[in-house]
Amino acid sequence: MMKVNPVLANPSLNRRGLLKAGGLASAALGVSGASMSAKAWAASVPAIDLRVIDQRVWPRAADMPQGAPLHLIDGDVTHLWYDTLYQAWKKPGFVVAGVTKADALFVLEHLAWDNRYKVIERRPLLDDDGQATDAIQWVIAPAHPSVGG
Amino acid sequence: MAVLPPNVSAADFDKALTELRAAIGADWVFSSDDDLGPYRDSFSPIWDTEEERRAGAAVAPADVEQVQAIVRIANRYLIPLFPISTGKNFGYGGPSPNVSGSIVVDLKRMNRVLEIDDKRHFALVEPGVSYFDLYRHIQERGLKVWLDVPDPGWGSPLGNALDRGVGYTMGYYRDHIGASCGLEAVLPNGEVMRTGMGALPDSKTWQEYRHGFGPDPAGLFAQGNFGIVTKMGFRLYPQPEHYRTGMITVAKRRDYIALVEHVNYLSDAMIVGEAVYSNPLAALLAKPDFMALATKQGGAPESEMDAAAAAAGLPSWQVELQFYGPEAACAANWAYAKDRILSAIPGAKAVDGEAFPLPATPEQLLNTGQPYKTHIRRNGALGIPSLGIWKIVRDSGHVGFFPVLPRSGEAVYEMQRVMCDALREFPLPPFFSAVTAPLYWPQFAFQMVFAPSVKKEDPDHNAMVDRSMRKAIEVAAKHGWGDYRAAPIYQDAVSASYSFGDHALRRFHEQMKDAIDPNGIIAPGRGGIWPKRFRK
Repeated sequence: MMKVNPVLANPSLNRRGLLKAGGLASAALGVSGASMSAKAWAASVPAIDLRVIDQRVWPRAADMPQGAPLHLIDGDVTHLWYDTLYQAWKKPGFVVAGVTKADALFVLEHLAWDNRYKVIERRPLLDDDGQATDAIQWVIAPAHPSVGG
Repeated sequence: MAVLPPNVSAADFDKALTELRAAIGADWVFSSDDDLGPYRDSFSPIWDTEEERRAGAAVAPADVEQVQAIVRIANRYLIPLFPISTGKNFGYGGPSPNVSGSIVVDLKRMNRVLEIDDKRHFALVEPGVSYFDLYRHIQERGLKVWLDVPDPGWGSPLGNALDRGVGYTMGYYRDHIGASCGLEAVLPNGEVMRTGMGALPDSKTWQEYRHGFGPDPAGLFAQGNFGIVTKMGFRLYPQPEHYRTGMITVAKRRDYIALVEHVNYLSDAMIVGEAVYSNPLAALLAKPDFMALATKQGGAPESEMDAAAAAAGLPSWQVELQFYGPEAACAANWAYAKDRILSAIPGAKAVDGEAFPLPATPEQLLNTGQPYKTHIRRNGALGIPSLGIWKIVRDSGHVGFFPVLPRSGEAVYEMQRVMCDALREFPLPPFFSAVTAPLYWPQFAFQMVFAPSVKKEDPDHNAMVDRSMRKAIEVAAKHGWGDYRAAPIYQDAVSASYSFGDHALRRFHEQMKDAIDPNGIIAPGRGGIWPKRFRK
């Protein structure tokens, strides 16, 4: 069974740090397996505004620790886009992180570009043996002064 | 390192960027590799090769005056511009220009819905308005009009129309450039022109009578390069009260010819919306014997296809029909369609599909309630933009070839046979076989689809795909089938196939291009139209 890396589960990471230096997100995302505790996850919440989980690659979304609002998808990002990101990305400073298949990230990345946001971190999700799966963990953040980037 | 346009020095390009920053603001001029990533064609089969068409810079103007300023600067430095609305168009080149080094004019910031009227049924929008924007605008105000959206629906009505995109409701609205009504464009000399009634100052009918007086050049801007379109009007479908579906099957392969003729009548009489054809025998392609039959050199014998259908207990063809309007009219039209077809084609059968009042519920939009396997894109059929189609995209995307063919069963069978044989040499899925169904997206014609996937990590595969695309264009043209839309890397080949009268149409376009855009700055090469200084 693959284990999701807690996205942005770095208690030392704050929003300012994330936006100033995308590399910090790399460390936050790079934890292999489920070694990060729920407590640490909760501590990371201020850094992100929304978590997106693709249930095709992480069906146990209900097990996710408390934190930023969680949006579940099945690969189709239409409602995520229309109901949430459409408005959120019109404001500055919104940060969203997720674990999805590449097709969903492709769509989100292009929508992000449209709104002057961009993917600042992406890496494959690893299984228990350290092998890359077909899931990607990523962070999207502002990329232009008009949206606080 | 910026990609420079042909015959433009780095110094001049830098000067132009400096002037552009002064004209529209430094934050809206993009020239770093990182900033230009969004302007690459993510589906390109020549990704990361020297042939890939890449922008030299991009600019995002806020209004028409800034577009005019950009055009004037480009004229001074002879830098080609490549306007995009939202820059989607995947499978047809995405946001990438025909000429590397071009400055992409990204019109996303011009995103105002200028007017929308649900009593006279039209909208006037800027290029950056997306289908989602317009849909939201309509929903939030409770307006009683529908959009006709492509799938996926993240592009813009203006950009999609200019690429001659199509949708899924009633025929008139499915042809997005055909349903446009009046446009405004910044011409290559920086002037602003309006077409149709928009040319008449104080006209109140710009979106209601497209022709105005005298020749109407609006069509030149679709797949053309005669200006940068900054406003476009559209006719909108009055929100129907009710929706009904039904399926008709025919037993024999030969019956398909009559079926198509009846559905043509229903469509041209505006009784049905998009008719969705499919071949139930496609389910048998997983069986090697049937695959061999369906892709047989010279075409599958009719008797053998009928035998395969009989053995599997399947009909030879099916068509799903969609009805819009008052509930009683939908029911009467479906009854009429059934009677018309079943009385004329022995063995034809009809199955009632879902019927419900509009707007649809979320459950109805899922399209899981049909009593038969359905191929209707329910969101699109009901004018609702969606992104769900991305789930079916394979590998690193695809390139698209959509030849236009007559609406007849004979033409369908001929294209199946000819294209199947022609593309047999390429190790690709059988896009053309005896079970390939036509698409009924254009109002008065069929199309078929050839959309091989590309793989960014496999240049040999992409080279094979490129060869297959070029052969498909060539073979189709020899049989009178032309592509309707193409990526920049295929536009010259497609344009060359429209060669009647020793390429009279292309020469006509070139003469106009040279007269209207003597410096050749607006999208040189788009639609296969090259300005004089680029012609070899």
